[in-house]
Amino acid sequence: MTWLVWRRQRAALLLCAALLGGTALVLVAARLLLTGAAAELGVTACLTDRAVDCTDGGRRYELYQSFRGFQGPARAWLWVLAPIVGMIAGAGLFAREFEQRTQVFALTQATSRTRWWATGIAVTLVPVLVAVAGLTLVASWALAPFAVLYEHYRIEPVDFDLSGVLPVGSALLAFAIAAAAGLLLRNSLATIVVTVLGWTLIFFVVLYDRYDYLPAETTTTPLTDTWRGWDGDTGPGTLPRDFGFLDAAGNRIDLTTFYRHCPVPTDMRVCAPTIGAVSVYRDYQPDSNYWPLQGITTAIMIVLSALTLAAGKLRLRRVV
Amino acid sequence: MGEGVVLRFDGVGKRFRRRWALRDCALELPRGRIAALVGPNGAGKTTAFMLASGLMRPTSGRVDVLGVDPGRSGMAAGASFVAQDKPLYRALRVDEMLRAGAVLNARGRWDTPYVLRLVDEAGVGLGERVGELSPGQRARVALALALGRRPDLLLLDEPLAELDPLARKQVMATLLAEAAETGTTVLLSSHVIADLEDSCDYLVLLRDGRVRLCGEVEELLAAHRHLTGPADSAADPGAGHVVHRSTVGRQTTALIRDTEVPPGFRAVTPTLDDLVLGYLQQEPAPTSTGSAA
Amino acid sequence: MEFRIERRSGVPTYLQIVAQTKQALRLGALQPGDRLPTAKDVVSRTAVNPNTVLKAYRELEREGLVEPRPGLGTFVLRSLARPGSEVDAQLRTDLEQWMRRATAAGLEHEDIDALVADVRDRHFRRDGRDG
Repeated sequence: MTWLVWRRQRAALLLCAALLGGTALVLVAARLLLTGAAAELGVTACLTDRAVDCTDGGRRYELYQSFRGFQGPARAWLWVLAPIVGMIAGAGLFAREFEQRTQVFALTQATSRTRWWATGIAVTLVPVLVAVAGLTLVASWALAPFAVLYEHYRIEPVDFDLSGVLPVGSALLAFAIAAAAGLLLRNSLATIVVTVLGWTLIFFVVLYDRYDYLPAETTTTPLTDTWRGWDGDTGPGTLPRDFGFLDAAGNRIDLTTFYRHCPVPTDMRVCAPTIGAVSVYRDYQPDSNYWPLQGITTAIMIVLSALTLAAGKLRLRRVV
Repeated sequence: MGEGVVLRFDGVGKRFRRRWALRDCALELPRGRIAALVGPNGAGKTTAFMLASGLMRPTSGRVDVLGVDPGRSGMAAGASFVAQDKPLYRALRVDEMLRAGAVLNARGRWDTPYVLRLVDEAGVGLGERVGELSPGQRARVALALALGRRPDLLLLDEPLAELDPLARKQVMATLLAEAAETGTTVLLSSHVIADLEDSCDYLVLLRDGRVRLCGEVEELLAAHRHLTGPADSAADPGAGHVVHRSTVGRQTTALIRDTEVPPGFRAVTPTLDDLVLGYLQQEPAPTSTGSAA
Repeated sequence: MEFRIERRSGVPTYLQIVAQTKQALRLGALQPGDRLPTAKDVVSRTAVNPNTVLKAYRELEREGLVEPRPGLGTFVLRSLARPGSEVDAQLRTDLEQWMRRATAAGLEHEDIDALVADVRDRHFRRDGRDG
């Protein structure tokens, strides 16, 4: 049975392998080029020490500029690659059986529906998830010097999604939607469309708030103190979530209210005390919340995937 | 289930949305028969196979295949099914397709040498791509895979449809030869009666989702008479027992059942063709289930 | 031996098999000890129902002409070939004379067949048909 699933899914799995493998090669090559260029320019510190500013002109800035065009598209590609791979693996699994009506053959042999369903999922999913995890490891190694150079931190948007276990969760979710949609729609093209729409919908409805699954930490700075950090800086490696003003009792003053009272050209230090603001608060996710947030987000993806797959299974139980 | 009955439908109905594909169907198929399931397109033949192979569940009634309820526990271990379109993995080679059969039957009966022999006899190369086989070869590979389960009951939905005359003969010959050797019960559907004459000894006739006739072909034929006579109404051929009558010019022909031959009529035992056509043309279609023998 | 089944003859298939076997026994094509083709052989050549073949063989067995031996097949017990007797020769001569008269009277092939079949059937009321 394992052999049959593998044989049927061979083309899809090979396509996934090609996409993942090709991407890994490009990433490794990019890292080698970057470190090579840094060594040639004599600015290797740009890639190892975050304290070094490489945007201040000269050779350092030359390095900064020459790889700038790569890292944006590369990160965007990585971001969509995991769900695409999951979708490719999942879309053909059941939809193609129903399109060619081979489920009529498969389900009238000495193999139960549950076994057919579960083996198909397991045999396809396990290698895909392992491969995505592998690519994630390669990507975090290959992109590490880029992160130093361009000052990315793992808890920031995109980096958060490209690292840890999230790519695996993302691929799993796309696979589950595709597999279940294949069972329900019985058509590959419709399955792909529904998977793209479904994954996007879930992302924006459920996962958009992934940085707020844990309560943020807060710092407050008295307004009288110093004016440094108006831009909401909570230190490197953290993710700002909110900032605003507090009155003497510690109540938050709505930013809209504040700016209506103190329009932008006014001197804040003069205006602020007139509506009772005595300090600035800043909410942020500290780096220490990286793994808990990764865990929660992935757990949500796993639960959604399981529910989706179970819905497909229910449909399979009813009619063929 | 009786000792000798391999397939039984008991008041079986199947509804798709608002339309009943099968309604109140009762039939029994004794072991060892080569049975024909006939009826016009849309009579419910395919639905009957889907129910018997557990791909669908009946809306009402009970299906029993070799002592198993297929809607509940899936395909009976001792039964095989070949759907009309002979679904096979088109991208696989023939040897891979056979391996697929072996793999899917790893927990059941599976006879690899037997399947290889059947495929060899069909003249199909193991290295050929399934999607590139001719319809006849495809049918024979599908039949080989079905027989590889060493079934006690073989369910074949329109096994001869879309085949050329030579392939029809070959498929039928293989089928009957293997049935002769193994004693497998066969239920096959067709809307071409000529395919079934001489091959089948049991008849199930479906029309409008209902079983009109069910029984041994010989007994059914013996219970009917095909009449030819003058069209004048004085001699009414077997009033009340006429299955179908038609008058062309001054001659009336009629299919009658269990009744005396009226004077002035010539009567012969009907052919299977006469019998089936008579019941398919019967008007109005009676609402009660006809069952003979 | 091979059976040729005439689909449109109106004669039940199993009777055709019985008749053709007897014909072979009469002509000496089958001798005592010969094995009849297996049901599988017959079926794969003629596409008739295997039960029909078995029914024909049972009929031949009932008439004491053949005997099934489990696992081996069905074997011929006795021949129907008769030594060419005086009676046969005389009958043949009579029939040939009659045939000449029939053709002289303008009867066609089919007319003669019908006439012969009718007379034969009146003598042997074997066929179960009415009319």
